[in-house]
Amino acid sequence: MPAVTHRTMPFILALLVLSMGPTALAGRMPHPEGTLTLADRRLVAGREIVIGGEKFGRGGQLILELVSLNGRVRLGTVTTDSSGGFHRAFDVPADLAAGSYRLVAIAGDGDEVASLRIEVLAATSSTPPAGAHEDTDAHAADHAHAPADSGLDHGTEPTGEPLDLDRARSPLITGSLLALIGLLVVGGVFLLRKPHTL
Amino acid sequence: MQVSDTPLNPVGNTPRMSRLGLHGLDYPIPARANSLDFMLGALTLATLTVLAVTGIVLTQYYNPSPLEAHASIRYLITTVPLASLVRDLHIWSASAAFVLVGAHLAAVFWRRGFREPREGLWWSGVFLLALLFALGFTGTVLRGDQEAVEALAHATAGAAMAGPLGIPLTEAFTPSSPLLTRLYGAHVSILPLALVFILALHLWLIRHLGVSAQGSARTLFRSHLRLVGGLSLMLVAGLLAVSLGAPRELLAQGTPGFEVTKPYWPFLWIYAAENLLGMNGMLVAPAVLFGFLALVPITDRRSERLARFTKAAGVIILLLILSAMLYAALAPAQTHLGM
Repeated sequence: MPAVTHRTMPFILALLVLSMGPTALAGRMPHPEGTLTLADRRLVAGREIVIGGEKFGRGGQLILELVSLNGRVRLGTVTTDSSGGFHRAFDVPADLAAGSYRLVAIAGDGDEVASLRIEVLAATSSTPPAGAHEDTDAHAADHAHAPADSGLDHGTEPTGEPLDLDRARSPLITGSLLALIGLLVVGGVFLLRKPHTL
Repeated sequence: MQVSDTPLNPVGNTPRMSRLGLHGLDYPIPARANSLDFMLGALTLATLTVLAVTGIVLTQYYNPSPLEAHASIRYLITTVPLASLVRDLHIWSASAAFVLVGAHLAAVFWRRGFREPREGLWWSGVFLLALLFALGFTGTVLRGDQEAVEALAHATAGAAMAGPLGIPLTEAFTPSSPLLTRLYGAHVSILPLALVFILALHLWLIRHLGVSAQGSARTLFRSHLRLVGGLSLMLVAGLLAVSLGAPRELLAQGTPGFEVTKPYWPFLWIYAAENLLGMNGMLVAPAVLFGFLALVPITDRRSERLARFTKAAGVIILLLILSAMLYAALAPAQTHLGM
């Protein structure tokens, strides 16, 4: 095996640079990042939505997904036109949990090339968090209203009237608080003695 | 007033207290400081402390996602007895803070506690008042109910009118995080940090400059602290009792595009200005109040005539604000957006 001399070293370096060039270039020139558009950023599970896109790579295929902390849900794939845009309807899965999501467009090699924050509404009004009382939730749901532009059946227009909620009460906590109030009053009276004057 | 740092040797100053460093509290202050009008600031601090503690508890249950916010509050009201009471205490403490800080401001203004060398003390107090309003607004918006949605719509409309200064209050600031979530960040971190910083400056200036009380009679600061502590305990007891007896309501989840509610009561004077001036009132009314408060120490010292005018103007502005709040509370709800 020939020894690496000071004469061969420049060639080796040149080869290294040439071999790394495309990689570095690829790093500097990612996929064209496009823009996603939605008529309304509040989607309703089970309904159809129309997603538009522009400024993507021409004639490329994109995967559209909804991403949340709970995972990813694929909506489908689209192929961009000669101007790098697309416009297509998708169905939002009916069993999709309500909450905050990101609508993302993923290029063929797995790179995320566009993202849009959206909210998904449950098919019926607002969804209470897990662990809430069933009877209370049903009661509250009667009063709750979905956003006006969500396309839901609202029932009535909003009012300034408070919800008639069944407040959680615990005799132990209420009793403890009453005792605490008593202690605070006694402590307050004790401290409110006549101050010293010099 | 000259403040002596030399510890006295009053009755009750034991060696144990010296070892704990409490003898450092035994410096003389005017005895007049033990009257209620000189304790309003300290009582405000007590309510701010309650707000901080209850706020920390509420953050464990609150979900700042726009669609989950309202449901998370409904959950804690209907499911978690202690958190429900803590929420009531938080809101009642906020109201108490507004009442006390308003009374504190009026008392300091009336006795001209802003005069040299206490201008910085006054300005830091005005800044604290502005921060309290910011905290009140962001706190209202977090509920996600109809009142919150309308408050947010007003704020974004006002932000649009404010030009570049208002950009952080718009959805367009960043698509990566909802405005509600960013306001939550402001409510629990940015604004409290600013409040603590300015409050520390305010307290340091009080310690350095002394209170503006007149009279030669003296008392010990420790004695004053005991009175303030006693009143604070009574205040907290009162707030707890009110929270138990009159829990705060929650409106239905907010629907954008409607104006059917009135704002949280400390903002009613701005609401009244909107009734009269349209959306411009939302910027004009706070600008007039805070502009006046900022100028008070400057206009007051120009001449005795201007000082009298400043005092009269302050009284008129206070009466206008109280009248505007009463009017807004009694008048039917009006629409302002798009006016």
